[in-house]
Amino acid sequence: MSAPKPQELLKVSHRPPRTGWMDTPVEFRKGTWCYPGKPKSLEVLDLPFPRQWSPEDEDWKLPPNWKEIVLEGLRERLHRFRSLQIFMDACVRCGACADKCHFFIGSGDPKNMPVLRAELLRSVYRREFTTAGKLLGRMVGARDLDERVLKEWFYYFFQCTECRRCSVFCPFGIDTAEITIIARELLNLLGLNIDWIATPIANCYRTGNHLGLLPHAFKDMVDFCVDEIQNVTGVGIEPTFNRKGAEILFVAPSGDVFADPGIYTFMGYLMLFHAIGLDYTLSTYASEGGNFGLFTSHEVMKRLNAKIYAEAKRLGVKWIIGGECGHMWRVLHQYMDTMNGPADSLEEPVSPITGTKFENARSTRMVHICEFTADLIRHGKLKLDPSRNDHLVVTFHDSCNPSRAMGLLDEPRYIIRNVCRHFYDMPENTIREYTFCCGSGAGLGPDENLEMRLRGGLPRANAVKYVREKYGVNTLACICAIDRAALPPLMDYWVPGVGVAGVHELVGNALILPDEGERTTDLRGNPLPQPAGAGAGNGDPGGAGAAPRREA
Amino acid sequence: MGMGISLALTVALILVAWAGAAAGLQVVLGTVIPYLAGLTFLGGLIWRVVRWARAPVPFRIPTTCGQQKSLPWIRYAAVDNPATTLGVVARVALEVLLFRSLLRNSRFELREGPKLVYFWEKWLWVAGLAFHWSLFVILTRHLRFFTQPVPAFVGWLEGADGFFQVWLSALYLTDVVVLVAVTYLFLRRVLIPQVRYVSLPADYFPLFLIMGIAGSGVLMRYFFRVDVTAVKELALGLVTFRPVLPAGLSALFYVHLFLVSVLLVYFPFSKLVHMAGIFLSPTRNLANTNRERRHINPWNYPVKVHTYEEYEEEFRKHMIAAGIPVERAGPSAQVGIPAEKEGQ
Amino acid sequence: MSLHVLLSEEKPTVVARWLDLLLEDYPPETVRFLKGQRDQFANPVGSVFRQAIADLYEELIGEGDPGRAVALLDPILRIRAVQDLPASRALAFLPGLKQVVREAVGSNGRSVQPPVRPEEWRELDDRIDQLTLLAFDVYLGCREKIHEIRFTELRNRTHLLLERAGLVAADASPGGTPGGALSPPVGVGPQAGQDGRGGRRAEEGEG
Repeated sequence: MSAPKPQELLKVSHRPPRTGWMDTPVEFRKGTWCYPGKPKSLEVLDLPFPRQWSPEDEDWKLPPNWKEIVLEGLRERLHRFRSLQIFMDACVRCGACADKCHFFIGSGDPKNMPVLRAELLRSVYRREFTTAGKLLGRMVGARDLDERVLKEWFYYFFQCTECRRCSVFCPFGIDTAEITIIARELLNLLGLNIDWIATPIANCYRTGNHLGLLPHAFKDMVDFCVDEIQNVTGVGIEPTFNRKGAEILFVAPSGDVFADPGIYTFMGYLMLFHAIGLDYTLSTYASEGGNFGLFTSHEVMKRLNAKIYAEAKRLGVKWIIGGECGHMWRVLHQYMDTMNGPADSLEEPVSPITGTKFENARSTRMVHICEFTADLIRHGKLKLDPSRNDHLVVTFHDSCNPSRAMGLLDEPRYIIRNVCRHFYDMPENTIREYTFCCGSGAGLGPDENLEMRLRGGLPRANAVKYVREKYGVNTLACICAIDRAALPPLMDYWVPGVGVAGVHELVGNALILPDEGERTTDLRGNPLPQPAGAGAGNGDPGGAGAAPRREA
Repeated sequence: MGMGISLALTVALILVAWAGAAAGLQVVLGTVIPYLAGLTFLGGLIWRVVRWARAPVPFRIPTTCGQQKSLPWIRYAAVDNPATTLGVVARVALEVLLFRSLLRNSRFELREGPKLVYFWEKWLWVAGLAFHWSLFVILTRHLRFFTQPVPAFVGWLEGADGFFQVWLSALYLTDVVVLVAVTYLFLRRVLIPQVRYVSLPADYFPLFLIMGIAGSGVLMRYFFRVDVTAVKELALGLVTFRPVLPAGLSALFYVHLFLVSVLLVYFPFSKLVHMAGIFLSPTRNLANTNRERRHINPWNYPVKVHTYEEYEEEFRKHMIAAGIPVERAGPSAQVGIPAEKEGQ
Repeated sequence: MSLHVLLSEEKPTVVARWLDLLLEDYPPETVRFLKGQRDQFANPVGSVFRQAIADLYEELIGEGDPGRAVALLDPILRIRAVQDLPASRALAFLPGLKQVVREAVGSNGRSVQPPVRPEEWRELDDRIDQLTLLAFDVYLGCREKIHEIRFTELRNRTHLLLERAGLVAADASPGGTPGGALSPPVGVGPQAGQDGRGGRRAEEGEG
């Protein structure tokens, strides 16, 4: 009797039996799922069924009538969202979306194909809400809702970053983000959320921001940025907080206030406003532009978002500027006005510096800072020295939401081209509306999920690697606070040597303040490059021939 | 397995029609079933679309596939990120007529190492377009049977379609194309593992049904000629509600008619309604004017929020200590710092 | 005929089969995508595997420079290290090459004259073993990197909070474990100080 060959042995022990997707149960392996939401966090928002539980446990301590709750919830949402009905009915399983998901590309798990992710919900919909599904069952892709299915939902709907890339390619515009949003709503009806979402929403509800910074701490963090600016530029900036009568309320993602490298972006905002003498105020109550409610339910999204208009009204500002953040802008652009508008206390936004009317924000009355800054540059209102960014060879990562739920593509590029002299876009099928997700969006950024994040981020990192090898790119610019947190580890693993910066950090470096002293370092304390003189002119990304200077 | 069931079902349907015709059930096959099928199709489709249309669109959620309309000097993507009704109409029209999103799918070029290899990935788009357009042309050609006099455009269409002459009769290009395309779509489903993995019996069935319909049609036209005058008599009778059953129609014809009836019945209750779905898809049929015009959610309801007053009540002491203005220096504030201290 | 010549002649076959072996770890519906989608940006995994396997084989039957071998193993194992594979499986394609080569050389239909000497086989096997051992280092390096990133992420989150202790709400509600606050929505990037661009900020924070 001969021993099996090593190859066979391995095959026997490792290859899973081939089963149809309906019969392949989900396995919770470390590194690919997020810790469950704590009961305390759920209680802050009065969310249902707060309890201690873990996805790894056999028993999820579901309420006895959980099935009814989910099905009733689904019925209700079918009546409320035409999108859901159409996305449940219209898919022909053509497979066009299959290889468009960054998680599928990086992991190879077939259930990460958008079509299958949606089928997880669709199969239950068919069983319960269509005649064919009730009569024919599996023939038409219908299956009963049971705990196994529920666990599968939890696993895979918290493995979708709601980036909408698949929706670009779908001939019917089916948007997996929409399906994930609603599936997560259903899970939340049973108290099934993840900690990295549940704790920030609880914090945000109570203290105004995700981290739970109390008002004085928030001010303290901003003061820290002010000190740093003084160190670099010699200019003292005095931002105000909760000041009534300011013309403009500025709301940034709180990540920019406390997290590295987001704080450099925040310094950029402050320097910009100082340079143009803007009459604005920050708010400790509305100290968070981000909104993890989007990753929980429409209702929580609305509850958290309400603060922005309420605070704008209380302070009596004319309009609002929002900082660089991806999902924050999905909420502000596509939901805020509908949910908490109309913003009657505000006025149609007009730039006090250039007089430009932001007609595209006429109703919502909130302007993206990139729109605001691009307009300033266009009108020559900023004094810029792009050579201060000469040590940076920059590429730009389009964040999912500003790209596919807004279309903010050329404004940040225009700014970068004016504040940097070495800018190179990544290959065309990885940018703009085709951009790849960072892999950590929609609340999937905790460290216990790191391996999944690295997998999902591979397509993005791969394109960065290409421009790094081709042009010597050493800086990945972005307009999203989650990106600023998620991309550094991603780069560290896949493309070492590439740093991550917000667009307004680059603005801050290049911006010449009216009263500034001689600068010797950039905002991060790195020495400024020696004046090179020769090379590309302002805004000419193609002409930069010099190799990038990299610090040790 | 799913494929086997669907194939068996289709074959069974063909046999039923054949046996019915042989057993002299022409009345059932030629009158009763077509009427029932037509009724189910219309009723079902209306029911389905009404059901969709009755569900509100609470949020404006277009998927934007190009530059937004923002500052006047930035050129925006008027079709892929529409800001006007005209743009939306163009976007939906491109989706419906040219399957624009599917076209995005694929690109010409590919680089692998030093070699440049050309690789064409647009087959799904080509086959999809060929399939749907051929079906449309064939359907329009069939108007010849249902109208008297025949509208002129039907004749033109036939002329264009039947450019090639085979055995003294025109060979309709669309007949060939539809058979090739449906075969491709079927093979694709079977041969590409990831597509096979997501395929349901319900995905194979309509393909087999359409193969059966197209196949029987082709057989009648080119091989076992059917009495066209008799077919027209029957068809006109059906649409004018004066059904007649002309003699001399073969079993093949009844198979054809029966499969069409089955397709009509199946249509509203299956994924085949995707045709109607595309017009109503909120990611495609809405303009990206979100911040310009307020979108109304009909079921928008008030929610519990954490008000500023509650916030200040909880943190007043800290706020005053940090010099952050407060609305009122309430009883909980013992620190004697002025409540209103402007930063500058 | 020497084994070396044979191995060069059979390169296309060996490389193709070796790639197949590597891809056996993925479900068939994924393999089709990994092999079929040729765009390196739409399919980074497949592209990296295809390129690296070919180069690695070239290196193996060529000079066998350990430095270059490591550089070629790195992209493959960097991907395998974050996928759902135990280490044994992630590296299995390397010892598996022995079988692949034997099958390819044996199945070419030619009777090799004179037959390949056993020492030649042994030398090849030794080289493959060497490669496997190097791969072990690379794989371990990747796993260590993952842990380092995780650790840095955690530490950076905590140190900023500790630095500002007392100013931050400990949790959503009083009495919470610090763990709640240790999971901010956006972490502190571990990049600071690692690429030199962290500069003063990182020094201060870590000092």
